[in-house]
Amino acid sequence: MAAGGPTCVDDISDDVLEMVLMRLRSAACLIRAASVCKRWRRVIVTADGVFLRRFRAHHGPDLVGHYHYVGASASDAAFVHVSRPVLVSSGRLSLDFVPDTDSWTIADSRGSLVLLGKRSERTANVYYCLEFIFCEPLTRRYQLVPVPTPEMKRRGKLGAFLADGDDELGGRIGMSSYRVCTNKTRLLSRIMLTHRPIPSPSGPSSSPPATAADAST
Amino acid sequence: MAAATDDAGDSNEMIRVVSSDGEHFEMPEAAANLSLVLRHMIEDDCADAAGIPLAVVAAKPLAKIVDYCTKHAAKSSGLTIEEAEELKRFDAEFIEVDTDMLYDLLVAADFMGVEGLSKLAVQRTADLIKGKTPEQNRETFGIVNDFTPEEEEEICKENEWAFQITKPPSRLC
Repeated sequence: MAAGGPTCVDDISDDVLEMVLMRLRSAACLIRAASVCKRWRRVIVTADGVFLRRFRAHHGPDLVGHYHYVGASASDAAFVHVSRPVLVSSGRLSLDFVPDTDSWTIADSRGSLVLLGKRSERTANVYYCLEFIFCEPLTRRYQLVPVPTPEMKRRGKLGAFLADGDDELGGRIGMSSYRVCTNKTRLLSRIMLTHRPIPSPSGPSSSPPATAADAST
Repeated sequence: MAAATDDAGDSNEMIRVVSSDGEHFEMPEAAANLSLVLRHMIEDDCADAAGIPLAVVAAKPLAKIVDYCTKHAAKSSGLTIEEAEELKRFDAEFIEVDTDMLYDLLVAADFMGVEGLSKLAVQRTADLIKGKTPEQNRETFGIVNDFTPEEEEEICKENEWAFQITKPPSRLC
């Protein structure tokens, strides 16, 4: 502002702009701010995900609500909002975009993702599911988890749950950053097998997930 | 029965500063010490009668900053609840400024290292952004939309839910 003309928004340094954007409360606010102009977007969406990681560490996730279902299939699930004000309209949370909704049951949900398992005719128990699909209701995207490996099939009871991705998207879960874990003992700490998406530099959704076998403690 | 003379001497001295457009201002040393830059200058004995030149801070925002620092320095420690409340009210009124002054304060407080004021201006800016559509934010802050229509459409499509929160805006982006 020293030489000529009043101070304008471009005179604010990236550091200060970052402090401002860090003070926004919700993810929705942040997304809309990231749509204002290229500069704001650049500050928020960095290649290393540092800003988003810090934003999440500061604010924690926005809990929108829960899926609640008394019937057996995902098509019976009702969404119960817990946030006030309601953050996402109910229509945005329906699972009706998943093909053949009736045959799936909700196995787990984490972050913005919902993991659905195909009910086994034998028990209708999710722990016997051998076919999984995961979806993101907000963006109405879904992806089949590839048929489990022979090793997975050999295991008796398969529990399945979603875990955060490795380090993409600020280390959080999303369509391009997630793990589907199955375990034999149902002890969550004992991750036996993990599905991960193939890391792709640009496109989030389209690459099929890779299967990796992890034997960790 | 607090001894008012505890930190006497230096703190009663007035510090002079000069804005980029040549206006002179005075404030107590305790007020100037709220600015990291001024504090270092004072410690290095650079504060003389001619005043400390602030090359990137114009008179208008500097007057505000002197006002802020003077008020906060006078009530820096051992605040009663009433005094703290009064300071809060002062801050709330102080930061009720137009966006031009807000930019000035953001830049100047950052440059001068006045932490409290920096936080106040940052919070005020964030409050202005909240609850607005991208278009409303561009209007508020005088920002040109530099996305191509294709990029804009892609962003909207990807994050449609975030634009449909309270009532669907007439234009999504």
